[in-house]
Amino acid sequence: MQDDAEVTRSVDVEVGADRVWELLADPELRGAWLDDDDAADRELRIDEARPGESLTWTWWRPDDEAGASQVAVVLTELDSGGTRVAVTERLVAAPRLHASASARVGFPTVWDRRLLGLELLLVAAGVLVA
Amino acid sequence: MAAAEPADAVFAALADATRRSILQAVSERGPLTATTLAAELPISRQAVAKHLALLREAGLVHADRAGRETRFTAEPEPLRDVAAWATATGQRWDDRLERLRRLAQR
Repeated sequence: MQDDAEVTRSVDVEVGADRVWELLADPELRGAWLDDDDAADRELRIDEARPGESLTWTWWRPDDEAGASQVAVVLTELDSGGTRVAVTERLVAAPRLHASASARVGFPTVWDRRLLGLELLLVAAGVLVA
Repeated sequence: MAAAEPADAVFAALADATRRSILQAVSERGPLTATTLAAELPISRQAVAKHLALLREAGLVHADRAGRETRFTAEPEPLRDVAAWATATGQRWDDRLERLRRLAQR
């Protein structure tokens, strides 16, 4: 059973994983497709980088300590020579995330990840209907 | 998220399976008292009351006094915020991935 409240999206691109990785790993190139009114305001911390395979980061708005989420982008090579780019974003309950310099440096590595269960969404649906 | 209550508290409250069960019961059959809930769950009334207090702090339930009883009713708003987050986040990723695809294939 899926145990987290998360959003998953994917796209197939007609280029190899190495090219996609460039667009993912280079902050400037990443910004060219990632940044929108939401992403542009966010602080971003890279959690894990596996070149050509996956990139995981946590991001949050400096003014919204409750809105942190973790994003995992996974690249899968396709038989066609293309690449599947799969994104999963999940909410994490944030500790105080006001972006002081010390908070950035001392960002907790072990998160209190109060993830939401699928039951939550069922409850939500029930409540919304009620 | 435009939550009236800190989303932090909402997630913390919902992280626990027992609290999710309590919230589900209250949302389906509320208003309910802690005593009624304790009779249905394998935990004490005192434990139920603690869980209800946390749900209340998170804005997920509200309490009404009726004589000696306190009856709890579910509040849908914080959950709507979570649903709204999922919808908005999915839409943003659709757009971002489409931009990524175009950039990669340029």
